[in-house]
Amino acid sequence: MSGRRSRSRQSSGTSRISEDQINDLIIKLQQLLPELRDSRRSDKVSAARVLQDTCNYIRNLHREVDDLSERLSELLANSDTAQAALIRSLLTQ
Amino acid sequence: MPLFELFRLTKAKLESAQDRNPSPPVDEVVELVWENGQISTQSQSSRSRNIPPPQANSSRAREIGNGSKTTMVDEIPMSVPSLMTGLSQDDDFVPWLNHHPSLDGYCSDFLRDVSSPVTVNEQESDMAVNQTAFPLFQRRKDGNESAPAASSSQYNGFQSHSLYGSDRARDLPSQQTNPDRFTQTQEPLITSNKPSLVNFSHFLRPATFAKTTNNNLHDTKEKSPQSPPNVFQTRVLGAKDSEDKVLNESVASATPKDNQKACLISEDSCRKDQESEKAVVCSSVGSGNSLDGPSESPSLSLKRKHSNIQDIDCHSEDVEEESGDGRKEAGPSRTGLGSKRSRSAEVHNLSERRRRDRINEKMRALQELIPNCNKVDKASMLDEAIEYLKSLQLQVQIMSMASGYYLPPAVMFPPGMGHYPAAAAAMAMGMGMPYAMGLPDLSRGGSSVNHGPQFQVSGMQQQPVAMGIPRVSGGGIFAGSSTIGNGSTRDLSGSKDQTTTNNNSNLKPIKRKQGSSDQFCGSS
Repeated sequence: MSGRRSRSRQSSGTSRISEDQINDLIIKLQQLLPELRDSRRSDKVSAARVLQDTCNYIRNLHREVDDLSERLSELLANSDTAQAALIRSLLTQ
Repeated sequence: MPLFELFRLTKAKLESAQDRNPSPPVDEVVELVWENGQISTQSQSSRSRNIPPPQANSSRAREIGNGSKTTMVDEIPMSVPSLMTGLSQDDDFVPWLNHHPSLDGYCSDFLRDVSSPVTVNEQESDMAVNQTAFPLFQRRKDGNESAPAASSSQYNGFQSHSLYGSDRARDLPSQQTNPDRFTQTQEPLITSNKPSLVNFSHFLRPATFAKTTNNNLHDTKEKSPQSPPNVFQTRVLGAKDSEDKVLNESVASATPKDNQKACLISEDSCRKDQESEKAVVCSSVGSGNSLDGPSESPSLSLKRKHSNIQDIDCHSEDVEEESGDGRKEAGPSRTGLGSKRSRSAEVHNLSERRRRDRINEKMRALQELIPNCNKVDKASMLDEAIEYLKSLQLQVQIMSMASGYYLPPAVMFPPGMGHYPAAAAAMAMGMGMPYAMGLPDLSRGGSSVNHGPQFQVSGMQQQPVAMGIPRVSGGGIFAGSSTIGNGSTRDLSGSKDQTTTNNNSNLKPIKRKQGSSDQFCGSS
């Protein structure tokens, strides 16, 4: 109990820095999100919202990647070798 | 008319009885109650319910045997300032003695400890040196070692400490008036007593508060028959707690510096009467903390105090939650400017904590979504999330582009392209990167090349800022992309080098879809 307390007190100076750092990172993250990017300067979005949207966005991207990889594998399976070679070289670069 | 006579007689009797009633019946009730109290716990509830009428109180006090001085505190708080210790001892001890006569020895030990703080001081002085992470436990342990006679009772107190805390926290909401009274009564005490006794009385506040809590428990006991054991445990605890506070005080006085701090803290909370029960709780804890935290600055502001409370609360969230509610509910019963400030601070603290919890929860969810992310640090975790998000976006772009190549059979590669697979690949990669630079070009290229819808969507998602790529002549690249459809290969070499180098660094993290990438790798 006292250990945690003293630690938190000691890091109170550095926690401010990391807080700012985290805020910066959250803003960076926000700019990567298509739905929040538009409102980046006009209104402040809460950090929880940004994180939530990030989670959703990552899930969406995962789904998209899965779909695409499925599609690509299909395409690669029944395409002629020249195109397949091109795509492979593209993907494995 | 014997019947009428009889009726008249009984009526007169009844009236006379009613005339006589006001004082004696109360006494009777109280006596009965007290007798019961000696026998069983049930009576306690009725006793505490009967406290409000003064007669009941005084009669109860007479029966307790310590005179009316102790019980008057309930009704006339300001006039009897110096009896807090007596009150707490009475209320905590008498039932204990009555119900557990076999434990008289412990009580006498306890009494001896209280009445002779010098010995306690001797016990505690080395403890003050041995400050560990658990000062309370350490103190009790040391106390056990040095005073074996009182060890079992002390241990009892320690064992049920958590129960005591939770009970007190649970009872806080219903304690809106009593604690205030007690804090009021303690003010004159503190000012009139010797300085060494200031902390003593102050530290007794939890005990007296526990007493009121116990009364409350007795009130609720009627409704729930299972609670009596709890009640007694807390009652004993209250006594033990007061003892603990006494010990605490003696520890503080053993080390002058710490004593100063403890004094400061306690005076702080005395001045901030509006904090009432919470102040009591935190002041006792705070004094314990000041013992093991010598770096704490003596000038504790209200805000700092609150942060301390928050810190403490973080460690025991259950009790904190309930006591937080108790604080909230007990707020309206207090008046003054300070109360408003403290209440707003409390509300702010609560909302802040809630916000933090929400963020932390989202942070955890995010961490689960990121593969191989075992970063504990929030900042590096977010860093990783950003990188991962970028790579995912890129991956989606590339894949959608690759699938876009295939989608329309009509859009075949230009004859020349087959001979320049590297150039085509570089161009294709480059298309993902500086896309946003030439959105008009994108629409042109998209329409002419007839990419899949996902291609366009993902292309829009990309940002030149995020990718950190120098503005490559977007027109050239898109001209290149549109040449796929048109069959001309102009301007490709200009942008190829830049895009490939950038792509290589950005593509590295893409390892999510292991199966599919393996597939592609294997097939090539």
